[in-house]
Amino acid sequence: MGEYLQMRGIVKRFPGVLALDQVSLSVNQGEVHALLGENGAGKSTLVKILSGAYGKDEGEILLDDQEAQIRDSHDAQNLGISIIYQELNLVDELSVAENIFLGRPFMKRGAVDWGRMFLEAKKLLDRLNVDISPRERVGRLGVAHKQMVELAKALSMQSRILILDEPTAPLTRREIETLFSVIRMLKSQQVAVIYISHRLEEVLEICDRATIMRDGRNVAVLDVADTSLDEIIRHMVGRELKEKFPKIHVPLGKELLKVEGLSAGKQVKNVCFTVREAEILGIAGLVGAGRTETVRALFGMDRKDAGEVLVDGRKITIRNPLDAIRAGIGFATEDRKSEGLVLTMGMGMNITLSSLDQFGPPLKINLQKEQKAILEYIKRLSIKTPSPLQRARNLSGGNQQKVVLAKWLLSRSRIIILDEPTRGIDVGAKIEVYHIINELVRQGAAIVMISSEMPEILSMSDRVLVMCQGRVTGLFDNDGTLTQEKILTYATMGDKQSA
Amino acid sequence: MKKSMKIAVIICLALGLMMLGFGIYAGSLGATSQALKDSAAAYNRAMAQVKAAEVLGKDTADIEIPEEVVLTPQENRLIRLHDMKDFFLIVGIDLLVVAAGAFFLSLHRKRQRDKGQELRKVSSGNNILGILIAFIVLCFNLALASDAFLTMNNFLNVFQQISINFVVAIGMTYVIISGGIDLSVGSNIALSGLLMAIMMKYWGLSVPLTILLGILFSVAIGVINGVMITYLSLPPFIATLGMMYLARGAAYTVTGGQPLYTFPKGFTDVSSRVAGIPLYGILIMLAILLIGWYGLKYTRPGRFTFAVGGNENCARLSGIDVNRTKVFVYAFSGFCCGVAALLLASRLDSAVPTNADGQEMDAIAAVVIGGTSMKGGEGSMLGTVIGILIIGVISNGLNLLGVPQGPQKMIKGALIVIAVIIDVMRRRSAESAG
Repeated sequence: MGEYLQMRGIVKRFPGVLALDQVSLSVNQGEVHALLGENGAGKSTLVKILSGAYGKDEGEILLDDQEAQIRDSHDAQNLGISIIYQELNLVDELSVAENIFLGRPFMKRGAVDWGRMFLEAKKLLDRLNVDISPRERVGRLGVAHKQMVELAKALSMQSRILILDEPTAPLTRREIETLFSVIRMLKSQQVAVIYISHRLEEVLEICDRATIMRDGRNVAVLDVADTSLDEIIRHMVGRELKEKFPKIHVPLGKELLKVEGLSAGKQVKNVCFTVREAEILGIAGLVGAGRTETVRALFGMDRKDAGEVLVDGRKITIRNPLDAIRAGIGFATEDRKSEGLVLTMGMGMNITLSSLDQFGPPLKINLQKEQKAILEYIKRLSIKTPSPLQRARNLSGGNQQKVVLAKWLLSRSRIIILDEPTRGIDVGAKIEVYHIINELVRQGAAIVMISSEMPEILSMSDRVLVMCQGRVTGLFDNDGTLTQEKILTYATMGDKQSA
Repeated sequence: MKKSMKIAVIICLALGLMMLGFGIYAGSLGATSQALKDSAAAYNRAMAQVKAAEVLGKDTADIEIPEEVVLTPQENRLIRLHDMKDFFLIVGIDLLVVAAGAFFLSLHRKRQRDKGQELRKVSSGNNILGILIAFIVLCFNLALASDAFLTMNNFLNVFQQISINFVVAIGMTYVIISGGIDLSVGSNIALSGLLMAIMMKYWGLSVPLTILLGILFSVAIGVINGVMITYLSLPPFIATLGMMYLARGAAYTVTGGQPLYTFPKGFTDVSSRVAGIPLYGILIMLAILLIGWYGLKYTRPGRFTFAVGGNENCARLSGIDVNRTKVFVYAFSGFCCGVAALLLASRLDSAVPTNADGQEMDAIAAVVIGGTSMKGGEGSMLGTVIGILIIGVISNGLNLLGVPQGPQKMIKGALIVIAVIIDVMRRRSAESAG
């Protein structure tokens, strides 16, 4: 079995940056090939060249030993290359079938042959073993089903090479299983799959080989069967990582936050929990379990129907985020770009946005004092930025997350809610974020951490709260006996009850 | 330096030198061109005399007819070339300036890169530098093209032309940075001006009280805009469009469409000249500019305006009262309209329902040329000021050069589009570099 796709000596320059330096990638037919590297290593650039989104400056691409000219995404499509981006590329207003055959509808006597289109779409969806109606509007589907629609679209184009960019990020464990079985099926049909993911455990599970990139260069090509997580991480970051999760143990203090009977809408039903000083409370659950909704209601972002919040034993009323901030609560949201940061503003101004009252009266901000505080936090959290004026948009994911954390540190929050604190940031930056969390714990802050990454929950939390369908289904001390399986059982408990 | 940039600089340099050469050559043709023109004119004059004599039946014998001069196409071209010498010189100098600017900029970038500094990707400072250079080049050209441009009289003239837009655009900058738009500014000025007139003439209120109430009224219109946009969740475009018609209609209604003339002396004094200079007007404009600039940079409402325009969700999550910020922004725009109404009515010594018609578009144009993003979240007061000056100076220059209104409007339109294209390109390159 020859190597179906070969990319050799690919060079790509952006203004002032050498994004890819003599990068090679070869993928066999019927192989799932992982493309790994930290953010900014050049993975996306490489697949964008393959899918025709970017042109290459040097190098050659061979398909089946034939030189392939990929000038635009149309060329790539004709050569059987399909890419499924993390942010899916579907038209919400159209039906599933229309999306699958977008731009190439079945025609009969000059009109669209709807019957045939729905039939063909159904066939494709059946091949993927998913139960979606071809007539359903895509906007009404969940993320997992949308992804399946994208896969059906790729199938319909007879793709020989399928690129998946972080496909599992928004999926629950069960949905990931479904995705993997589809990938295995494609593999058996001799499709070459290029799999990009930050979740290395999954890579070990599904991939055959892995090409690891760092700073725009190839570092290693490994056979997944003969490698270990640690070896992969070492190649990715270029240094040995003693611990992925540097958890520290500090004696817990008094109870700082108490939530009683919190209810909001359909997603949050009678949630109760407490957090003590220097404690990390992990909240686990499947996507849609109401975890984010719970903390949003707690923070005053969404209206709550019932429930009491006590900080330091005193009952407080939270009607809006300002009330919550005044009570010493900070909230680093799941989606940094749409909620956590003002991307158009300087990163420094993002840090001070909720603490401007520390820098003088409303009509006189002391810019020198502000600048001093900003520089102090850049140093303390080792945020990499050329200047405090650098727009938040231009920072890497890890540094953006640090800016968000700096904002809540500066506003003197004693209770910090972290919603997926390490989503979409690379291994090195993840560890730095954990160190910042540790620093907070050392200072006696109470941390509420929502995470979909089980290892993160299990390694960092002192206690774990499990939610399902808006209810708390379990609360455990993380004393070493808690396992992923146990959490999953409780996270799906509500499902079984309602089924 | 990027290859395309290099080529562009070389082309600019070559074209500039060529134009300059043309210009100098055309200038050197002065004597020849004049001689040819004179001889042609002398012949034509003589022929006209002969014709006149023939018509009158006089004897034509004693009219001295010079040798017939027929200008060859080459000679005609020569004359035209000489007439265009100014154009060649100016364009040539511009191109050389652009080439030199680009060259030094890339040199500067290279030095930065060699020092290992990461390139400053997007910074509003860079952007202001660009429009500032454009403005200087523009003034330079006009000074070359027209002797009347660099005179005190013309300066005061430009100043008077831009004064209303100046004040309104400062308020508009806040609105656009907050991610909104205010179409009601022109009508607000007209209605507020008429109300001030009514208060003084019919109600007999004192001048200071009139000014105070007039400005408060304009602020109230802004507050209503803000409330419609926040608490009733109307899109800013619709809310202020409605207010635009409402206020304009009210302006026609209050006086039955009639203008009001002659105000008390205290009122017109606001625009009176001290030692030939409209001192109070200038002071008011500078005061508004100072408030606008200071507010944006040094106050919490100013900072919140950027945050709300950049990311409303994040602003709310950071404890900012988004609704209050928006109401403030439209109220400030209304305040600027009130001040503009005062300036306009006192200068014209009259209030007309059609006053400041289309003012909203001029203000938006100035803000956009000044590099403020229509998407909100980005912009600067300094940019707006330069934007206002560019619009004012261009229309003044075109007037001086005798360009009719039609082409003037076309040039203004092209200018806005070009300014935004440059801005979009700059943003795109900055983003792809990151």
